[in-house]
Amino acid sequence: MSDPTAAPTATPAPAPRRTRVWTRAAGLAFAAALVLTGCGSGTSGSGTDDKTSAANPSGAFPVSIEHAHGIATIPEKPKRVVTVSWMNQDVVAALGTVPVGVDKQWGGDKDGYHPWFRDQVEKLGGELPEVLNYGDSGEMDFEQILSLDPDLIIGLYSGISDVDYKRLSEIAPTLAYTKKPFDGGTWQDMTRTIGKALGETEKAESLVTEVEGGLATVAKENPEFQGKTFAYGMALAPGATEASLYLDYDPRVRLLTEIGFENTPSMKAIASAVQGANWYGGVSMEKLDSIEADVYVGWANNPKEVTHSLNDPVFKRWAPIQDKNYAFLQDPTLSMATSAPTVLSIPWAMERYVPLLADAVAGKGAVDTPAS
Amino acid sequence: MTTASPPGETTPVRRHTPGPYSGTGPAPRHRRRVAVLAAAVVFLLAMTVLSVMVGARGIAPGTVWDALFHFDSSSDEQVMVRELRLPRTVIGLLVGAALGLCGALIQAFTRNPLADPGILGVNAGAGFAVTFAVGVLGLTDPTEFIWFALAGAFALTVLVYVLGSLGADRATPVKLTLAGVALTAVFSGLTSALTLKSLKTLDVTRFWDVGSIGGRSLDVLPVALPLIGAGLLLGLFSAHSLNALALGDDSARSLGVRLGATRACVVLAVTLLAGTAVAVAGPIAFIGLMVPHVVRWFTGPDQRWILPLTVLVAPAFLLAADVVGRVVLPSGELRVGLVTALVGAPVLVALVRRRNASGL
Repeated sequence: MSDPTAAPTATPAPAPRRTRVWTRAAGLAFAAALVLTGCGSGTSGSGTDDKTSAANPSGAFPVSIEHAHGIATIPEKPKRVVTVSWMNQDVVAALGTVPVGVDKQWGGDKDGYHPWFRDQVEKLGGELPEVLNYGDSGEMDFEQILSLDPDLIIGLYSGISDVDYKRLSEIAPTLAYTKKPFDGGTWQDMTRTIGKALGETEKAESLVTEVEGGLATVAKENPEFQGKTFAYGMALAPGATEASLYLDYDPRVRLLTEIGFENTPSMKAIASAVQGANWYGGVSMEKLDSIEADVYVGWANNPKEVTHSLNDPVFKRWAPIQDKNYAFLQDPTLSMATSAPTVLSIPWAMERYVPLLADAVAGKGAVDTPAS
Repeated sequence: MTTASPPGETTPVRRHTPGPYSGTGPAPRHRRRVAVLAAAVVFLLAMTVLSVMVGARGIAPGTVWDALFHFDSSSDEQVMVRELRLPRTVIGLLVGAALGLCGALIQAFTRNPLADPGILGVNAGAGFAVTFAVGVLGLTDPTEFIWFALAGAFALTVLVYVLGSLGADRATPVKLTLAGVALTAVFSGLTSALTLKSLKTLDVTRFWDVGSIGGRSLDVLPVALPLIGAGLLLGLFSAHSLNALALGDDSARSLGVRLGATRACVVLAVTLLAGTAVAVAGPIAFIGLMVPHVVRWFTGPDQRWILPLTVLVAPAFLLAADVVGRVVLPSGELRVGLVTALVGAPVLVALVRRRNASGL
């Protein structure tokens, strides 16, 4: 289910193809890029991996990785990986290992998988992993995790407590978040950390370079994004008296800065008032105009929230909304792809996200049409 | 004459003990009550003005004046006054009056000084119905689920009443209270179960399950106003009978009060008031508990004074709490349900510790 099975399909087209893909992406529609990228990373990845492990079997291992709850020491290349947070399963799969257990993915299909993850697993010829159970108040099903017999548990974007960590690390070496709960570092950091844990440092590095190249291409092809300030928020639910805006270290905010946008400096005042480990802050509707932004990007739980926001008597007078410089994401899959960007979800997302952002910058007020 | 005292302590002997409220002659007391009434009106007006004037943003009084009387739709600040503060104030007045009167009625009716509008199961019924509408039927807009809240409030109150009426001595306040508390526990549990099962439900109800008067649209007025109005009339109309009820069932009956009719009247008023208030603003704690006590300190135990004064003072309290919630956080706003709970908890402790504080 992991590398060995994937290896045969892997051999044909290694490295050169990958570079070609992104150069071509500059000219081509992103749809094509998506397919090829997925292919490229998956196949070539397993190829290199095979070579390194063959040449240098014990090479990188044991690996020790420090995180917020301690140090995880991984004795040998993990074969059965369980992921317990957003994003991580994508990276594991992108690096050529099909996880054996994953979280039910928000915005996923009825089985709980994202399309880009499913594609990647299919490409690797693996079996779709088991979806982990969670209790009513979010408690983990440790027995299920134990029964999956993992040799590595990854929760870099989790909020696992030290108690949970203790129990998980009795089952297998466990990677918790690096600094704060729900802050696993940038998607690049996350890719590299998981790469290290899986003994795939090189492949992780080249994945990062590849996806960064794609983002740079997007930035180059859309010079109008350059330097535009934005605020990323949540659509107003009926009854809301404040707008929620994400802080600068949130992955969805970072992703926009990587294609040329700039997080509005007005958020600094909000950030200083936010307490604890929160990754967003509230702005009273009465003070909304203290947030200066060229563009507003927001996600909504459902189309009604979008309508509600756009009709709100005060919200609709806020400069980016009034001037139609907004982009609303109402498709949970796209929201997820851009809120929790990974090496797999970014290429999938960009072909849908970029046109919306372009419309927002052009003052055409964009709302996505949910993918079926 | 005591209005409300804990069940089991309603001995006539105690009630006729001369005290500050029953011993003094009628004339000075009447004058005092009129002064209290005037003060309540002034307090209410002041809080109404404050609620329109003060918010997260400093808006000049002149601008507020213009927003109200010379509205210019091109001014952001005037729009804020009209669209944010005005609905908030109107809804606060309405909900505050409903919650206050409801609390006073229930305290008098159950003869329990610590009773609040939740005690007959009204809030739990409304809460469950709304969560059901959101979680199972997928409604998201408060104007859609107001009917569910009312139906839930009504259904559960009827259930409490039926359950409390079983047995030989029909619907006594103690039995009603017990039935109410028990069913409240059951339905709050069901509500939690629904919410915990689905994040989506939690997401829609999160603006609703801590009471708030902000972010509500005046669209609910055409429905809420008549319902609360009817509840207020019905409740105020019961004042005289409630005074008689305070003497105990037998004395009340001998005074010509029709117990069954009075109780049905009060329960209906409570359902209308609490059900609508909860539907509009969510469960706002403690207003219905605190305000009647505060009023009683000034008026004494006569329901004909307590009820109308509570209708004036409760909305003033609610608006004051809401204004505090708007300015206390550096970013964003604190919901009024939280403010009243923060203020209410110590008041509750004080009430429990000094039972006589309320002239009982």
